[in-house]
Amino acid sequence: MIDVATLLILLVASVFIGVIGSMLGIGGGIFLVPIMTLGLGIPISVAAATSLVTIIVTSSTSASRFLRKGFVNVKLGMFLEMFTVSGAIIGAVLVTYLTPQSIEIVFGFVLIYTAFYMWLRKEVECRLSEEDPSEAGNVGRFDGSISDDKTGKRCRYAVKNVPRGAIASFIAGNLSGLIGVGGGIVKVPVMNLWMGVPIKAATATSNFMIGVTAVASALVYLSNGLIAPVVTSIAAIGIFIGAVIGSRMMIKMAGGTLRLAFALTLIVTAVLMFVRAGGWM
Amino acid sequence: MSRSPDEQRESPVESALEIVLFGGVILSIALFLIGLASFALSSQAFVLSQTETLDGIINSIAALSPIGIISLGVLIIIATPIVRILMTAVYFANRDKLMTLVPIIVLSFIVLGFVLSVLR
Repeated sequence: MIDVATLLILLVASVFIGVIGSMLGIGGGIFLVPIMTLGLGIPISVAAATSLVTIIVTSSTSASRFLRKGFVNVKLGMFLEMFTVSGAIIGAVLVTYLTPQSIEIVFGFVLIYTAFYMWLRKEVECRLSEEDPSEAGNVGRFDGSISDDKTGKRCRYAVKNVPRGAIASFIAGNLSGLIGVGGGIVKVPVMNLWMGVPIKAATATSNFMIGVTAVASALVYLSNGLIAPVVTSIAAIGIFIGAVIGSRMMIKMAGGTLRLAFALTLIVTAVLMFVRAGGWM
Repeated sequence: MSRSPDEQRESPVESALEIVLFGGVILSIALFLIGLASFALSSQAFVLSQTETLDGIINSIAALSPIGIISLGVLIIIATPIVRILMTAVYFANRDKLMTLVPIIVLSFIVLGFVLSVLR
């Protein structure tokens, strides 16, 4: 018999994770899986499968909203997801030969460094299209545009360091295959800090991508009979509500606030990485 | 439907992608709600974390049982990004060679990962 309190905890936690995931362009598995396993006593394999399906819900709900607003850089997202998906598959193969604990500790320190870097570094500047049409044209294949926080007008940004971003996306996929974390949490800072993509466009583009990476793994869980439809449906409903709220919040949020929120999430994720590596979770 | 000036898209494909992604989610959520309501109305007992094999999922969908309705929602949500990848491949065909090739490669990796997991 199902406990009503369990259902409510799962639903409320999912709404919260949906808000965070949608705003920041991350899947949220690092938060949902421990809540399900430690808090609700659900087996880890079921929690992981549920988490993957809910990432698709976050991704599809948020990306559709951000596509409407023109925040998603479709070509860049498609290009980088090619490296993320291939990295995830190789990571899933490598997991048999490597110890996740050491990777989690190193990754934790990288996240802390990235959080401070993100917090201290100035946000990407983009040019208003109307102000300088000669410079506003697309010069690179992946250049994009987004509405400016202050004026509401479209401004263009140039995407830099594409090969470096592609390698980082491959590593992001690798990490997600190895330790189940590393999709959006790596790709958003990479796009923002290295590739010159404004934070809002980076989180929106990450949301566009994470669903595809999750599908690759979700199909494996589905074929192995590890999907639990009831728990998945309840978590998905909560995530959907959260993603609708989160995507609306992100659109109205200032870029600086979003960067700060992301930096704080990186610190929390780093702490969870250390806790996991220590065997306390 | 009118849009504010800042709701501009880079290309028409974004409009189609938005419809596919949101349509897939809404359809899945509707099926989840119908399935859960059917469970609540029926006297069937169920375990929250009860897993289903692929055969079990297909049989329950065919029987239109509450668990089958929910499972159909799960399959639709998993299929949604795959449809999105196919759509981008079709859209960029004859427009942009690289962007036609990229979704095909992504889809190939997904299929490869699935096959590898089945073989292991």
